[in-house]
Amino acid sequence: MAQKHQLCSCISALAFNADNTKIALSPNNHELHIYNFDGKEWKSEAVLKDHYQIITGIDWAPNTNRIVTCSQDRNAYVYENIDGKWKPTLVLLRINRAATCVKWSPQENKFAVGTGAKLVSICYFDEEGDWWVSKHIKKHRSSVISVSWHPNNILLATGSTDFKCRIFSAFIKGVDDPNETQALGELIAEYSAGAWVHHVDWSPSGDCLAFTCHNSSIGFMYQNETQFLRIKDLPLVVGGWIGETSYIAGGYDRNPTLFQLKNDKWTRIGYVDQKSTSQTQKKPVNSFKNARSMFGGMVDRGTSSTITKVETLHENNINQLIILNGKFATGGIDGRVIIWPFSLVKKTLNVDLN
Amino acid sequence: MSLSQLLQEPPYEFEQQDKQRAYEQVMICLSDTADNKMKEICNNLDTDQQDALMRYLYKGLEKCENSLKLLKWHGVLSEVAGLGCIMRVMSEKRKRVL
Repeated sequence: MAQKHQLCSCISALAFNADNTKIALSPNNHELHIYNFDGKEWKSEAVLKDHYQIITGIDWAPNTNRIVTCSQDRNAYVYENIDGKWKPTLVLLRINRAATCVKWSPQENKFAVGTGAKLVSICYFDEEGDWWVSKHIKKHRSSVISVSWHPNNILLATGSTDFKCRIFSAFIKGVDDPNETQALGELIAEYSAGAWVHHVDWSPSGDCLAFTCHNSSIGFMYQNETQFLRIKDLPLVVGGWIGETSYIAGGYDRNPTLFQLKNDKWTRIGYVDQKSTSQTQKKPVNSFKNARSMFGGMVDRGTSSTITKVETLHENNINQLIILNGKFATGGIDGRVIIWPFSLVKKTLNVDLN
Repeated sequence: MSLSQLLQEPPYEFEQQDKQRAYEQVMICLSDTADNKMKEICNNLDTDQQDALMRYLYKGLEKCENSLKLLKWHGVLSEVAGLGCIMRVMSEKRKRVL
């Protein structure tokens, strides 16, 4: 069964810690809330108010236990847990527009921030100056709305509102292995999509790149060719990899969708949130009674419109999706965090997730 | 020409007058189709053809010609092709204009 948690009225950014007992989220404002799961419910542990505008991205590094947040106020903060308190360190991104997304690199020694200033800020810690330094990757023609690190800690995929998905080298001298030959900001590859690229995601091994676009399509860069799947539903905005051959994505449909690799072709399997057939059997409706109660409602209670019941667990768009241990979590703009176990996905869609 | 033939290779890259001719042909075809045949025709189109048909529908609705018939087509095609088809017309690059 999927667990539903109503934590606030709207979520703009979400992250889980390494053992999935804590959650860091921003309820669509400048505050960073940290919740602790005590076995039954989520309790607020800390509210950090260092930013002064909406926090757009949060990422929690699993090994070093650091949280990085970026905001529309053009700043990023790195939080370290010292004696139970979260101590912030300001990072100067040197941008003149909002930051849109942030991701720690796999080795957690640098992070990438996508911005509305048509560039990506790669930040690393400079030991001599004892501060976080940022370097810029330009070459975008519009805002960068999604970033994803390749497992080798060097390659970075970016999704932009200029309809392209690009792969850059984010090599930093002094932080990365000096045997790498690509310079920072070198464009390795570029893929054209028909519309805004909402989300880019490297598979865990780095062999496949998935990117979701606003024209209701999803592209998989697999074995040197891009397979575009056009879907019949509303666009997908976030996604995550389950193993190497399954990809789960969510968006304006309020329902996570599963894609799988079958015979070297990516195919859409189906929605994860489906009511069981026994529940969807409609009771026989007496239309006279229906009409009478409808008009009766208008007279007695003054109701003039029928309330449409939402059939999914999320009442509004899904805008966060995070893969956890044995399950995945989705956050929506309805303020709900729903945790879906993989067993539910396997049972509902009758598939194998490796 | 049948509708599916007309939609097979839409003139995305062609000159304006060729696009106009293609558009007129498609409109004639759409208005000549009986209402009860619409669903069957839509079901037999593949994704590319469905996208092209949706683009023609919106172009026709834009010009306010034959709206009643086009709206009927739109209802049937939306049911078959889904909201994704409409999304692709709305968010497409200028390159794919008919």
